[in-house]
Amino acid sequence: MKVLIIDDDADIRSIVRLSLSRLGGMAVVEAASGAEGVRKARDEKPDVILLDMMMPAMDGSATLAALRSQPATATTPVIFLTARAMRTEIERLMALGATGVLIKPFDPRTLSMDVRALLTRRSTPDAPKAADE
Amino acid sequence: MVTASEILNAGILVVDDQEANVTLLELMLRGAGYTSIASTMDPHEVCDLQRKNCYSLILLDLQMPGMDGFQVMEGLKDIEKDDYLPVLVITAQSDHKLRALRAGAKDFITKPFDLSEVLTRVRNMLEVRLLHTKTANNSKVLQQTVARLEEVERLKMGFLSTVSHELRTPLTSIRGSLGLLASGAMGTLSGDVVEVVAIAERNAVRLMALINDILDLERLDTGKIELQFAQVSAESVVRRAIESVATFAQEHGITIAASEVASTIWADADRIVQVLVNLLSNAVKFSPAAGMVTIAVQPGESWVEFSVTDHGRGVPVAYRQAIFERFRQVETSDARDKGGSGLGLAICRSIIDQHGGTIGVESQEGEGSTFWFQVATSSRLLAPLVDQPIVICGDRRGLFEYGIREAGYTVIAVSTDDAAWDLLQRTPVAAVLMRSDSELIGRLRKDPVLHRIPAIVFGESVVLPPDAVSDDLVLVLPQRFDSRELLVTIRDCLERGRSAAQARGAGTISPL
Repeated sequence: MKVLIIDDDADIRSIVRLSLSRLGGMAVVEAASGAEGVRKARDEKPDVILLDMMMPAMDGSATLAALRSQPATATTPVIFLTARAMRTEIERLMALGATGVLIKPFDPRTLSMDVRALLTRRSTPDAPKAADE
Repeated sequence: MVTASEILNAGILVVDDQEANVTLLELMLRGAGYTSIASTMDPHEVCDLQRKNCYSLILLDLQMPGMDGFQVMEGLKDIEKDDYLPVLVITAQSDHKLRALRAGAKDFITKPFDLSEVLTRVRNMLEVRLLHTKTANNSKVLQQTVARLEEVERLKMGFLSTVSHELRTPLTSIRGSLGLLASGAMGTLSGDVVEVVAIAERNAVRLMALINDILDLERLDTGKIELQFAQVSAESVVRRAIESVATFAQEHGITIAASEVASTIWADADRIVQVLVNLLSNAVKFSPAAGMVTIAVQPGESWVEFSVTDHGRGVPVAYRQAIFERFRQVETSDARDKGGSGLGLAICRSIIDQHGGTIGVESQEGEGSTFWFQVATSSRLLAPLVDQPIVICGDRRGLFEYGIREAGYTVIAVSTDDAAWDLLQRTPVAAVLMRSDSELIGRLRKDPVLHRIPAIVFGESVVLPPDAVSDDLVLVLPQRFDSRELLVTIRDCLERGRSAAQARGAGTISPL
């Protein structure tokens, strides 16, 4: 499974990469901004995109909109990474078309399992929910 | 208040084209103790002098050659920014008096001068002028203070959300790195290293929890978290809470037992779960090894009581109130030894307060504690019953006023028995609250009409006059009460008032 992580914080990208690759056996591509992420998503065709909400310039919502408007990534599952969101915020992100929401700080030991769980839940009729810490 | 010396030292300007009049007035004023007197015989100078010296009082002759007193007053209006002309006119013509007052003068003196009249009017005017200035200054200071406080509040909220993000981001990296190390993903660690990494990770998690709790409490207290009220089943919140703490309890070897009772509450389910999780986690933390924690639901007619019981060391009497305040744990070492931020119970209380409920603890030292809270069964209980206002009489009524207004009632607050009595004669009201030592209750109960107004007295007990009419409309609220008791008593009071009205056939109070 190939994962694209879009986050402006290099340390967080590293932790996500190490966690997903070493513990989850996934291939990981990194992008440091929304714009770079949209480009890499088109070129690399990841199976799932982990998207940081709070980024300068192009934030998570804008990046998601750009991803959805580009045919190559129109249906790619997108999971938001956000600092402890309020229920209303999670509902807002889900309404934007997110596949799921992961709350920071995440546990690197379970991150790959959480991602897989959200992708599985997506295929069931139940509304997807945020994974807790 | 204005002091005598402030009045005597206030600046006075005497304006008259007749030197004899100026001298006479100056003599009168100096003789009475005034110290700061200036004079001019040229009306054209008045505006400049006033601009420069800001006199508190201008004694102004109306009939002067070249420029009369009315013209001078017009000029002064441009200087006195607060629309207050401190002018006492001097005139011999009675038809000028009204015209001068209409033009903005505050008072007049009649020629020929009467000493005591002049001095009385001067003193009165100075007093009013100085009070006026003080009040204007006070309200300006007050406005500035309010604006500054609002700015501080805005900055504080902005600061908190910045802190939220700025602290979480590095902590996410720290916790993540430690987690990766602990997982063995970066290579196998030796026994000592595992232990050190575990300490670091545990504390990173604790720090994160503390930040989250601080932000949570701040959002709750500032109303930034809007509760989503709905009719929810008590079992479902209990079940969810137990699920959340199941692993934690298992790790501590603690069993959680729940009683099954069907009941519904009017509440924000997520927030009630949060409260229960907090109470259950505390109970688990403070339970002896292999202990049992019990969670129970006690349904009542209006309120449902949830309780969480442990068999831990108990809460000393001195702490039973304090532990619901921020950072107040029984042992200062508890935060370190037991984990937790010291904010959990403060968050619980804030949530239950916002439900209009009550939270508390009962405990036997060495034997255990029962933390309990009550929330309403339906929104009806929390909604106002009537449109008519509730009157609160007496000083120190702030607590009631706040609680009752919060519940959605209209409140009229009056300070004295007489003011309340006056109001009740004129305005239809739903109920009256007063102190038990107030005379109002006796007067009300004896009145052929007003005894129909339901009343609540707060204090130890109430003694009604022997000829009081129908005392079943008088309720007593104990000296120490909480918001729930207050609202329940008010409801009870209003319902009794309504039944009594219906019994009289006066269906003026609309049904629910």
